[in-house]
Amino acid sequence: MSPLTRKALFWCGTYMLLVLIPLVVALAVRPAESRSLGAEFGAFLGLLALGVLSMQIVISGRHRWFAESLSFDNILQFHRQTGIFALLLVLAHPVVMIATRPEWIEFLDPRDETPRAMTLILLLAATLLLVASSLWRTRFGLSYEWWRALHGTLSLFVVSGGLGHALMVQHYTAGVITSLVLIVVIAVPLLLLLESRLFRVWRNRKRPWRVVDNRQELGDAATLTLEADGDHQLKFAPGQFFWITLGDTPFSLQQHPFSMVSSASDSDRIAFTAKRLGDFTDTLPDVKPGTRAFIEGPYGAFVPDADSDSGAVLIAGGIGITPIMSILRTLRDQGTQVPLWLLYANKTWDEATFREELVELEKALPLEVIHVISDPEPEWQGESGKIDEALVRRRLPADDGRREYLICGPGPLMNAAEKALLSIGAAPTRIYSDRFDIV
Amino acid sequence: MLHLYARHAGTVIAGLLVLIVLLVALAVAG
Repeated sequence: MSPLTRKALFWCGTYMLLVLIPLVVALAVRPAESRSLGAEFGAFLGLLALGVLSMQIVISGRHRWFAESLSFDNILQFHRQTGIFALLLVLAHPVVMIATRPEWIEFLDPRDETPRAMTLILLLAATLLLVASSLWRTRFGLSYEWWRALHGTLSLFVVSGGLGHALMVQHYTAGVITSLVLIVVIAVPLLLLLESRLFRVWRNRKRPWRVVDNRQELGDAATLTLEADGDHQLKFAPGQFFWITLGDTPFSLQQHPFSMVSSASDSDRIAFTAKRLGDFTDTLPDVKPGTRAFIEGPYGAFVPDADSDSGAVLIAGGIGITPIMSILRTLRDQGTQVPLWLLYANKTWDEATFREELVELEKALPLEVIHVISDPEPEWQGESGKIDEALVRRRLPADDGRREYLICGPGPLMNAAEKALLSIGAAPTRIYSDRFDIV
Repeated sequence: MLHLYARHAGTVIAGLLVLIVLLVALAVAG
């Protein structure tokens, strides 16, 4: 079993224990009255929903101690799945309860205890909106910034409302000690939410940065270079990303994650590149030098093993090249001699951001760059089409059981690349994926 | 770890948790 698998199993086990805490607390002081299987199962589904929802706040809170080595991408994938699970639990809880005892429909009847019924209906609707707006943000026409604000607010409402409901029902929470323990168990994730969204930003206000250069790149992208406005520094590993806020205050909805493109060898100046995607990124080409910025991070574990003499295969799609540029620039600065292959997919040759610098990097590193163009001009001589198994078999060396694979790009490319790599025998534990368009 | 594992981990854990809850309910129910 690889250390990574062991770590993943440890965190999965820890997660299961944590989400079961509300249930354990409730069972610790069991009421004397014994109810039917449906009633108990329904109540326990509700307590489990409370545990899962409160842990959602912890796992997405960018806490360094929490499963950092499993990569932010994996944690977000997990957060997405468990979010859907939480919604199913929240919906199943009243369905099972009411199916068992139809008279419990009174909990949702506004004619009977209007405030309670309205709160519970709102809680159900808020949970539904919480998950649906995340799964279909763009279909809802929600900007990323407003989605983030909505997600945070709804999470707070759903978890605190769920706790209030559990305490007021009183069947399993009648005792003062049980109630207090349950409050503490739910309050910890809520405090962590405040820490990540408020206190952390407050501390960051004393560590400003300043934009010193804004450069246009191929592929409708812009590179912003930042320098510390003070004597602070940021150390990061190539392939990691930061949350960046541009403007005079760190308190802004406009906080966005960006992979570094600069070499990790230089901690005084950092740079990130973004493509115009019809949202916040459209404003980046107009950012003037001198603009203030606030940086939180680094995050992510999309970091190659620089000591592996087996080398690494890097696969980028479009602007997914950014973390890979940071990796290549860092390896160049370190004078690495490990073999590297880069499969770089773009729609057209003119959209291949950093293509000129990649020529220079090929001279400085034991690197082979293979451009793959999906919509090429007639005179294009290189690889065309999409990244698939045939291309991977044709252009990459056979897997030697040790080589690492790093992929960054849009979802369909990543799915195709992962499938192709698995087919040539690459172990899943040596494939690192970095999805930048999860929400 | 491949993200596919993370996705499956969510589903497997969800299944296990529901099973645990059902077993506890069976033990507690009168």
